[in-house]
Amino acid sequence: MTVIATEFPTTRADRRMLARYLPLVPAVAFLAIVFVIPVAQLLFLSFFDNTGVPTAAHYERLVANPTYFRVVLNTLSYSAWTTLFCIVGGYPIAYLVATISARHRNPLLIWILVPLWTSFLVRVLAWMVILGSHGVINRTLLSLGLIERPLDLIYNFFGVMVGSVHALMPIAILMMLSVMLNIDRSLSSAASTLGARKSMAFWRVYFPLSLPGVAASGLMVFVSALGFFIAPQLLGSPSNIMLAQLIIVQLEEALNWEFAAALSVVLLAATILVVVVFDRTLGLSSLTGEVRAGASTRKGGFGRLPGGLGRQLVSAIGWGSVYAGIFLGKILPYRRQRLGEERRSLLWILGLIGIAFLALPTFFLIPISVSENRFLAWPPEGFTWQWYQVYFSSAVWLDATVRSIGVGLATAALSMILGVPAAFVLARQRVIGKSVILSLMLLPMVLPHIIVAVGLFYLYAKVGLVGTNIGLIIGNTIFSLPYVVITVMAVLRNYDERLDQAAWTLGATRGVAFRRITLPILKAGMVTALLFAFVKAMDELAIALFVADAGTPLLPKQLWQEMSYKIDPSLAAVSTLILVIVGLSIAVVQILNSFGAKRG
Amino acid sequence: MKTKLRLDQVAKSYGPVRALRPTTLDVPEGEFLTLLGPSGSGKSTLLQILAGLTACDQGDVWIDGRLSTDTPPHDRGVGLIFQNYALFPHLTVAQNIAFPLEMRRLPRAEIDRRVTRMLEVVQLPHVGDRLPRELSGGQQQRVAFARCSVYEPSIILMDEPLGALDKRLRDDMQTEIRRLHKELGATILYVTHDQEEAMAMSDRICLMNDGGIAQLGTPSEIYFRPRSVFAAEFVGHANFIAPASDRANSKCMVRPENIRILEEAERADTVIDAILEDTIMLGAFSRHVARSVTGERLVAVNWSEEKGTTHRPGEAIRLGWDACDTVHLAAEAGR
Ligand SMILES: Nc1ncnc2c1ncn2[C@@H]1O[C@H](COP(=O)(O)OP(=O)(O)OP(=O)(O)O)[C@@H](O)[C@H]1O
Ligand SMILES: [Mg+2]
Repeated sequence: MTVIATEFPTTRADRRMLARYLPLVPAVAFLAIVFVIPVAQLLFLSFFDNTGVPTAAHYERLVANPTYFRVVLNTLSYSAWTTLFCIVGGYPIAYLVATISARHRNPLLIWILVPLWTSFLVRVLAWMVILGSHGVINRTLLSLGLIERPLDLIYNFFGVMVGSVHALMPIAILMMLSVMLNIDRSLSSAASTLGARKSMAFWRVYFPLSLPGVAASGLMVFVSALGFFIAPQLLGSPSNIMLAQLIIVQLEEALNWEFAAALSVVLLAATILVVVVFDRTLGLSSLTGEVRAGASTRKGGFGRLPGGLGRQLVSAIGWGSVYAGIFLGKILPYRRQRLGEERRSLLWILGLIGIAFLALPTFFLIPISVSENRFLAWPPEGFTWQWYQVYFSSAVWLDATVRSIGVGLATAALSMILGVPAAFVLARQRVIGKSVILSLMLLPMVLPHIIVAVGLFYLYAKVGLVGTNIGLIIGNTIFSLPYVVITVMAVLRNYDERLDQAAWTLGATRGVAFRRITLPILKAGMVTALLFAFVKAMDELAIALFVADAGTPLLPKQLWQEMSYKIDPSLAAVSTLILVIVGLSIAVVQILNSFGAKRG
Repeated sequence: MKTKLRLDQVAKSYGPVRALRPTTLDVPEGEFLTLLGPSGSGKSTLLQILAGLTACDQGDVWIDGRLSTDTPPHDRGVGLIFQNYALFPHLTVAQNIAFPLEMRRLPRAEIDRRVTRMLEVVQLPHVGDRLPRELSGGQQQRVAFARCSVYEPSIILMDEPLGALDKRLRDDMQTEIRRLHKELGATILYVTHDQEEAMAMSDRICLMNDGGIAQLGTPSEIYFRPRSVFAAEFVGHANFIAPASDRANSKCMVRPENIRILEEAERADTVIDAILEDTIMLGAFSRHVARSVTGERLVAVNWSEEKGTTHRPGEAIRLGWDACDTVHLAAEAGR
């Protein structure tokens, strides 16, 4: 009897327990079928040859040829450099935003977020305009007479770094910021009343407390960079390729699926290895944003270094900066400082340079899109609509645009349908295995998109979904879902559940309370999630490359192909139009929101 | 006595909000001075200015006879205990307490010795290796005190240090702080909005209202000789009575414990006829609420008697008190 009782939920409590999981089922089932199984299958494939006989030949080939080893090393070092620059460049910006008054914070944040809302391909194009040999920087320096020949800023390591750091720094900033905003301001005041100078208080108190954010964003950037192929392909040197590029080459040119699968395994293994090492030393919990400032230092690697090495180091930096400050104060003719005046000019300079780096590049595309010059040359010459005419007279571009918008909207809708119920459960209920489920939902964010896309392609090839809109929508939803879940969970975390309880005690049924109280309050956050999903889907290249075919053009795929072969201002025109589409949808949402707020 | 701290016409505004009006205050060495006042009266602002965490708009701060208006906080040698304790969450208790000593570059051995001693002084000898969040509220409070006093600052500011503790713990900590005050001989400025706490702990009380000092004096001066309606009402219960006709511009006040219910033929300097409305036995004391014939509500507090009072609610009684217990208040004093 007891055995049966544990197997079948007979009591009411048991049934209620199960009912809690119900909203999670669609999202989990969805990811299991179109994400877990295809990726697993892909990995499986790497152990077979093209006739279906088990073999380790692909791995032997990998090991035997030092070129592949070099590509792996390249990828790792590229990711490490990207991480370093994102953190070093992003930290002052995050610190500036975290420590200015709340009134000034939002305007700065909006500029930091600009790149996140802009298509990655559009941003890469903007960097081509800026860094090219006829680009903004070279032409400006030449005309000022500062250089004689154009500098090599693009199609090399520098170009790749600029594009990748630009892509990933906003995320790094946001993750560091979320930890910094939780650092109690009175701690720095306390340090100063205890005798610490400003620089000392920073290094001994603020900096250690911000480290969990640094670690989390470091992991995020590193893992994302591992799977990057757009920036290396379009801004880098063809002699220096990354793993993800190699996978594409094997698939598209060598048509060697099994070897591509083996390469994917390597990429995946590298990703998992990094995540596991991170978890072992610092704890993955710091990723979900629920980390308490400083929580990881006890258990984590920093405090565990032998003899408090980390603390010694930070202390040494602290004293170093104190003495540097005193020394500078002696040799520079500073006037005596009034209390309350802060010397933060250096921080502001660093911060504003960083924000300009993040926000401004895309705007250079707008003048280029009406330039008469046939190349993406700076400065723009004359004025013409001809590049827009190219776009509007091209059936392929128009088809791609319509399809991208349609697929984007459908993806956003599907992501919401799957993601919102799951986010509600994950944010509010106590469910067993919550962290596992949450990890599954967020996994697509950190796994290289290319692996998922390739896995999906195998699956689709069997069931005939390649080149279909449904296939595209499903594929994009895999990547949009995490953004919906995160955004909705963040909104719910700030939502006071007692409001619902109040409504119930006032006589509202659960349904009515949800419709009249919960939904209106959460609406803005929900719409943001929807918009996020839409923008992500519009920009998803890996899915477009492997799931779409010649009959189903999509904006990112079209841009990618044209950018790889010929580059002319019509691409700038398309990019400008994409900016307009995204900008308009944000504006519409804002207007709807404020309209709703006034009415409500 | 030597003046330890001096505020000279110090003022601070936050935009349109005048957090502190021009304020002058002298604190002698070794005094325990309490800033008492309602929420938003500028107590924290005053402490922040003294600690150097907030710059004042005008006026000067003198510490130990030195002009310190623009001295940064780390050079002031003024300890501050925050309302939320502000213990560094990433450092152990011992590391927290060692922090100010490390900032002063004391030798390691000396630091260890002082930290150990300080942990004994606050009676927490075994928690040195724990993190602050592994301590109870009261223990955290004591660590905050230890961290602040370990480098023996001659001035310690405390901003509602007991605000987060429950009643019993508060009582214990009050005694503890008094003891440490005597032991260390520091000058202490203590912020609270609990009047009993202020009475119990202070040498003098600085009563604050609306960004200014309403009255400055010993606890008994503040209690028995309030100079304004605000002071009279904020500390203890006040019975206001109509002033004599020749002093129409003032108000009179009597404390409840000075009002007696008069027996048949008993005489007093001031006598008022009233109707008893209610009597509440509070243990050692009983509280009588009455309404005078002119309509004023009067409260008298007297020793309880076992048989209970002979008067019933609704009965006419006579209330009386001595002339010396009447306090004359300026109507708008303290503004
Ligand atoms: N940083 C600030 N910005 C703007 N206004 C402030 C700031 N700090 C204090 N104020 C205002 O100054 C006034 C005095 O504040 P203060 O914190 O000194 O009061 P308080 O006496 O400590 O009150 P409480 O007992 O509630 O702590 C209040 O009206 C408050 O709103
Ligand atoms: Mg206060």
